[in-house]
Amino acid sequence: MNLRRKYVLRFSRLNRILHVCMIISFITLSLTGMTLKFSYTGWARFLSRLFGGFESAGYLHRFAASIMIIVFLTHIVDLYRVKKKDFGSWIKLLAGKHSMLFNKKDWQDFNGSLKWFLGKGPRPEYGRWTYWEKFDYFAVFWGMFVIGSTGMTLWFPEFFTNFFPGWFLNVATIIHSDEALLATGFIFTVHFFNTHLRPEKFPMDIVIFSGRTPLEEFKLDRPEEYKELIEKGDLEKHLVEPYPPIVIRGMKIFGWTALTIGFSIIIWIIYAMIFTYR
Amino acid sequence: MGSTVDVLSEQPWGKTYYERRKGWCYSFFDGNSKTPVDIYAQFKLIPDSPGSYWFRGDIVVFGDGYHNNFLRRHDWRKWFMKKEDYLNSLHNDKNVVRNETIPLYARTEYGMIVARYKWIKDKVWKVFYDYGMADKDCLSCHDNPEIKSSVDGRSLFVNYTDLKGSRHDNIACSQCHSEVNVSKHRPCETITQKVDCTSCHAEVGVEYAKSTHGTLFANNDNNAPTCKECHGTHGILGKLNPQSPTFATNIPTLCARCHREGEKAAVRYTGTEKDIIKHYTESIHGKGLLKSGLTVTATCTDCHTAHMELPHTNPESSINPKNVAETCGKCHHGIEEQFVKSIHSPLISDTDKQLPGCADCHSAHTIKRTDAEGFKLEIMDQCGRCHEKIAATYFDTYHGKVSQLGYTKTAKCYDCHGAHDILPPTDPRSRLSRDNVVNTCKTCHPSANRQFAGYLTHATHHDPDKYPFLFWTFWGMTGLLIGTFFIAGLHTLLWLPRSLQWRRKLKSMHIEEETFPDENQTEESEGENT
Repeated sequence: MNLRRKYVLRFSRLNRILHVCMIISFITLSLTGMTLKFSYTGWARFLSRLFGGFESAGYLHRFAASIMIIVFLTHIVDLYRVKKKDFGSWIKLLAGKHSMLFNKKDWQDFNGSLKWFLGKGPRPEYGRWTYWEKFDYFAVFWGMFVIGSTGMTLWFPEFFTNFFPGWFLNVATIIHSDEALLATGFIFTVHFFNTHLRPEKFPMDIVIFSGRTPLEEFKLDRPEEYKELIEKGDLEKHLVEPYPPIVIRGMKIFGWTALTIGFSIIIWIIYAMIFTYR
Repeated sequence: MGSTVDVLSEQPWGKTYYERRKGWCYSFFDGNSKTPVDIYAQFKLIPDSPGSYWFRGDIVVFGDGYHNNFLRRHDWRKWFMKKEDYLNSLHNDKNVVRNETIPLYARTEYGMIVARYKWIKDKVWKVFYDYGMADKDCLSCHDNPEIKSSVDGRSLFVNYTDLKGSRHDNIACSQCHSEVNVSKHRPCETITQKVDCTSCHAEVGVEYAKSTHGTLFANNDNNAPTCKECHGTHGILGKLNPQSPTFATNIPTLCARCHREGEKAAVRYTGTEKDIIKHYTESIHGKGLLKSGLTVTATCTDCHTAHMELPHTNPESSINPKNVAETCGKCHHGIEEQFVKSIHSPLISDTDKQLPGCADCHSAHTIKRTDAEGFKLEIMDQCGRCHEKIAATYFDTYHGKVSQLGYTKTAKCYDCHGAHDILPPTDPRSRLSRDNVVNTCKTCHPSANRQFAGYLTHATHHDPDKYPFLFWTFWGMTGLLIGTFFIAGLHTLLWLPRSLQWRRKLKSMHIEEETFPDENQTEESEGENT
């Protein structure tokens, strides 16, 4: 078997679908949300008209929010399933080598990375999940909690004011909108750079859509995981054939669309913050 | 002599009443005859300015033909001058200030108005009608279409059918063209004055004299419009006649003759209103009048008055800020009733600052439908002209942000504060008072509760004293943002050079790969087959 043109499966089908749903809902949420946050810009008025007015933009926002909540819950359910099937107990899942929780290895990798950046050491041998991927992963948890809870407050203000004073809605608005600014800003710059724009991946890494990464690249990018697979003799199990070119093209088109919208939002945010801030 | 008095109306500004009493005809001309006559009088007392009153009345004398005939010939002016005491006794009002009596004649179907008299402070009105001059005497010359003035050559032809079809069909030539002398071959040769309409229309004359038009006329300004410029001459029609230039739908055209952009009044005007006629035509009033044909719609004269139009700076002007509410209230009475009780009314708010009147929010000539989107959005800027801070912070909260996107379904200033009935929230009648605020919220948020109403609709996160929670939340979040972006950004920037190296490494691998094209070819086809 020629290993050179082989691909390693990195993401399960469910995770890929969830990520696509997440992209769609996230972009919808940021576009509709930003129209309100930067309502004093001409762009906001234009987009709001495009969405059919603030009412339908609001419906879209809440619909996308529901999608995102479903994505989140599906992931939690999937974690249960994975725990049962592959690990047996939460301890094994969370303390294992493939855990999403930060561990000693991440601290070493982080320090190693800084040394590597400064030319004082080799590239760390990243494993299944790197520390910045774990950061992104928990950023979603944090965002779901912070934006989600304040969002629900703003969705049902009459209900929540039975328990909280009215000014709580103002506070929730600030938290919701600034945390959303952090989320969009982070995803459309840092996340985009880390996964797509950094020179070795430029312009785009479609692994999140195809789930496949070329074995050659995998070997270099995730040396630790590769070694682990070799040691276990599990590599063959993870090898898959690539998707036909038409499917790849579809994924690239989708990826480009998401990237373009994301960057447009960033430009819009920067424009709004610098030139029309109030 | 018995007398009956019917008070028709009594109001703070004066009273109107009829008085009917028996009189003796001899009393009118030194006791030569003793025919009993009915004196039937209508009086109206109107304060003109403090300390002075208008006094106006008609005395109608009922009597036989002889007396009618006689009364008509009598020089009533002299008589009334002599009988001032008698007139005094008719109303017993010591406050009436009298300078001059003015008698004039006109026939009525009931009897004969022998006198119409007025006392007007600081104003002397000269009226005297010479009877005995029949229209046909005038027409013997003026019926000729060729007749021209020997002075300036203008035509002196009078179309008598015009006059007979006019409001003045029962007025003789000599009643307007006074000073004729019947003993002359040309009775009109003694005329020195132009026709003075104020002989009869005295009240109008007083108003006109005060108006900008009248002031110009008094200064011999060439552009000054006089009665005839608007009303015409012999063919004068009443304002209810659709043919009349003063009929409601014709008034904008009438005023436009001078006030349209580029015309003589418009070029002299230095105020801020531009394209007055055009804007009026496009306004709700203009459309109501000219498109919908509603003759009750406000035209120029409804707001500016017909005869006493004055610039808004003049305290007597109908469009002076103090008077605007009353002027608009002539038609929008219900609104005026609300407005005068509101915080914006000068009757309620005692302040040095200028209070808004109708025109400040609705404009003067570009008034729009208040249920139109444009007006709903503009009105917030109108409130914001005075309430700067509160408007700015409104736009920082949800309602304001939505409205900025161009949607009007959200709560705008007047949805919560009210429009014409606006009151401070401390007033229990206010829509925002403690008792009412929840219900006000409920108009849009049906299940609103007391705490819900505590939402800060004008909050800003820039004021640590007023809104410490918002201020610190905002800066906490901003700190989180800056911190996260700083660390992540730094990480990314440091990564960049190494990543470039890594790219070169990967590329060299691909080149290596391409040196085995045959192998590649077979692999690719393999991949496609599987």
